Amino acid sequence: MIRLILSLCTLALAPMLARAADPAVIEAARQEGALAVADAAPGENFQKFMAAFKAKYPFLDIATGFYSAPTGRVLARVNAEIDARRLSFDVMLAANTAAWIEMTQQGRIARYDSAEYAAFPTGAKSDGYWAAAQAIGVIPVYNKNTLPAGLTLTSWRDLLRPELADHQLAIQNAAAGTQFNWNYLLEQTLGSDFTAKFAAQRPVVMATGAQLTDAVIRGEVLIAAALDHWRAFTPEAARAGLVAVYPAEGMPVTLVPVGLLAGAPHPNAGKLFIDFILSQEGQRLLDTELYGMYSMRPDVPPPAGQKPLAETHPLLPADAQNYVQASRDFPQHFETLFH
Amino acid sequence: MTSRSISKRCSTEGIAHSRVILTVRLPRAEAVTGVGVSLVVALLVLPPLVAVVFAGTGSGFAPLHHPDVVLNTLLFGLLTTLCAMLLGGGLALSLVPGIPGRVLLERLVVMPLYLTPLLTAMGWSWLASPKSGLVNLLLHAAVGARVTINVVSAAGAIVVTGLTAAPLPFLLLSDALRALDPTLLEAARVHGAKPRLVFRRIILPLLLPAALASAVLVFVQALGMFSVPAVLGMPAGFNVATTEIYQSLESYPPRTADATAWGVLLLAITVLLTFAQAAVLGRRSFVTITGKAFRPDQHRPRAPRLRAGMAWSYVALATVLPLIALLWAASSAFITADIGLMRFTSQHFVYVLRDYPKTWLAAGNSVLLGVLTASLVSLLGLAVSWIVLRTRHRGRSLLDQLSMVPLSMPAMVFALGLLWVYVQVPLPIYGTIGILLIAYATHYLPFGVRATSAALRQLHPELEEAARVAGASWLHAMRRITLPLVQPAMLAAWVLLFVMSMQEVSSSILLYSSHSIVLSVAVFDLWENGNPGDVAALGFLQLITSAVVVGVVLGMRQRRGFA
Repeated sequence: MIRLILSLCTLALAPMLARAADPAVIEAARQEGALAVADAAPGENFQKFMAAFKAKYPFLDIATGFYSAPTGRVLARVNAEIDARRLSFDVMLAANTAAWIEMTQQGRIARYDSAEYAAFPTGAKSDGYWAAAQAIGVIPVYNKNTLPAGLTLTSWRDLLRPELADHQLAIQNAAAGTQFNWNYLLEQTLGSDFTAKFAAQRPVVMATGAQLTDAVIRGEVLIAAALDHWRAFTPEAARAGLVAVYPAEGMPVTLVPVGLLAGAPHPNAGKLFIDFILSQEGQRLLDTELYGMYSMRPDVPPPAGQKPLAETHPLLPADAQNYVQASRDFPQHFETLFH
Repeated sequence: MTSRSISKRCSTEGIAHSRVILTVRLPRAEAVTGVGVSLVVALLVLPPLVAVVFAGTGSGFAPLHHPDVVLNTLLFGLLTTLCAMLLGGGLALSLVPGIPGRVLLERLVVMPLYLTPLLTAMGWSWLASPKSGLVNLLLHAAVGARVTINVVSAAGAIVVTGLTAAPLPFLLLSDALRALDPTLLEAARVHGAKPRLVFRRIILPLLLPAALASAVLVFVQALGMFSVPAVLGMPAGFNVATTEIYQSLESYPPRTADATAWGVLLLAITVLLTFAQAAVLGRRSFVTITGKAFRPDQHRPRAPRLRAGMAWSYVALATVLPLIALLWAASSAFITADIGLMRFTSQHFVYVLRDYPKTWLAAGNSVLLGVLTASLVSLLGLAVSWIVLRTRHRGRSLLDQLSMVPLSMPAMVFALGLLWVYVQVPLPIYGTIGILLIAYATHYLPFGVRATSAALRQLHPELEEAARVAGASWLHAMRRITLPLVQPAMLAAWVLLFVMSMQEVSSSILLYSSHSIVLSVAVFDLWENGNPGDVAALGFLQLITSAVVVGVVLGMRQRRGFA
């Protein structure tokens, strides 16, 4: 109850806490008149977030150029437009840090020194270019109605138990950023023999996170070994008996960065949007309220019912170049392990 | 002068074989049509094809490193085609006059066309997954856990794809059967031929064009099928070319060279198949509609109840059971093996009808695109078929091959070519419904061509020629003779194209914008990121939208009296 009251108070104060935008940028955005966002955040919640932004800047047309799709398609679309010198988007929100690092190096991300970057820890931003608008944990999730009694999960190594061999575990395919982060960060933390032993368990490989969730709810597999954490906290998942596990060795984290694209047709509108989405007000609305995801800003509380991010021992890549190279090699590495 | 009177007059005047007029001297209107249509087809097909082939041969050829996936793909294509041809052919041969409930059954057996393969696959995964499938729960309750049907397997993916693809051979074969001249069958019977011999020596050879056309279509469609192998095959470790393509395109950095290399491989297979089909059909005549009148076959079919029973079984497996599963998923908070935990709810329907922001805009766009695509492609398909079959237009064989190209490549790969081309084209269509219309028209052109060419093949040129001899211009002959006679097939093609357009997802997901989103993309997005119950509810809406439009069109057809 106290938490709810505090949340409501912070929400009420948030507009005052948010930094005031530069009047010159607002005026320039007014002249531009529109904002085109390429967004990889799933579902209709992002449109609710966009509506909140529109309420602040009603003179911007945010609907016409809006594009929403999974990360792979957002990146393909944005890069195809950049290659063709026909960029229609201003801002991109996509869950693949390796892509952001590479696109920044290629000059595809515009430099913008948002004052909000200061609130983000190192590792969750590339100063002057992008910062993580969302943070998604990758965790094991089981169904309490189907997991055999006595089978407790506290460690990643628990997934290597013999009783979980032969299609009792499920993961996503090599195309999923979630799966790459899981493999990379657990190999960094537990050693590469962990994923080799895990592959020997012969897990089921599925195409999407939604399919994985469905399979665990239905009891087709016992444990989704690499699931976006927020999927275990939706009301349906809770009612179906899904339980999120925070392994002792830590939780791999997938960042969803946001940034301004170089050559954006409406750069000032894009700056207003980045300031808003990275502000405490924006982060609370987007992550805590709408998506049930983590914010990397320490001053934003975790979603109700979820462990605070710091207590999950979040695992993030330490070496950007190594991470990018591993991302390139991952399809082959995944195939060696799981085919 | 009506088409019938022209035909009658030509027959009675004994001028049915003056073919020389059409084939030797190419009138100007035909020549202009020939060049114009060839140009349109080339502009639609070649740029994306060149883009894909160029990208696909730029680096190491991915299929060489995955012989197991190549084998899986070929097996999947062959066995699915076999399954669909047996089902579709069996249905076409079974549903003849005299079968109880034939008219209703003819409508029901094409219902799988309205259900997207994704929804059918999801429906079957809820029905026959080994632990939580409804059918298995009932089986286990009845006979214990000794008997389990596992549809999440290679065999499951093949059978379910076969079920979804069977209406295509059914439609083409039943049209061909209807057009069979019963005097041929009677002549055989009069000469003492047994039914089996009549079937083998008369019916089968005359059905060969439609059978081969539908087999090639089904095979190529199966090679390009993504959703069923993704839902039912991939979890069982059964990967095919399309699941490899999906993984190549969705990963970062996207491995477009690998994806397009798979596309080039499938293109090569299809080109070989098309040549083989042309070689088989090339020198033979399959004409069954001539200037001479014929009366329908009056023979009563054998074992009518058994035939009807088989058709009802197909309807149950391909439509009723998956629909029940979808309805079950759309009406349950979630599906789980523990029936006690399930509760019925309207939340999924409320969500897609009220809260999901894409639903209504997508539905409107889908209907508009479906109508425009079906109309455009059926006309263009007829024009291509006519040039290929009725003229000596130079390059008509190339035109035929070219019109098949979009089908020969997985839609996901061809869509990449479309994206690469149209993002560069300095026309104000990128990001609009216009680009989707071009993509759909290109993608479905082969279906328009095959559906109309099967009809034209059975229409003897003597009918048009007779009209020309009787003084009709080329346009007049087309308008009064050819078009009225192929109109039923055209309408069937229109319906097929409309329904397929409503389901198109591969090009749409790369080319849509917020205001040109279509229902199939909205469903696919929910499948990738959302809740299965929401997918089922929106899938229902997609199904109902298609059915309403098709119902209206068929109603208009009946009112006009050429049912």
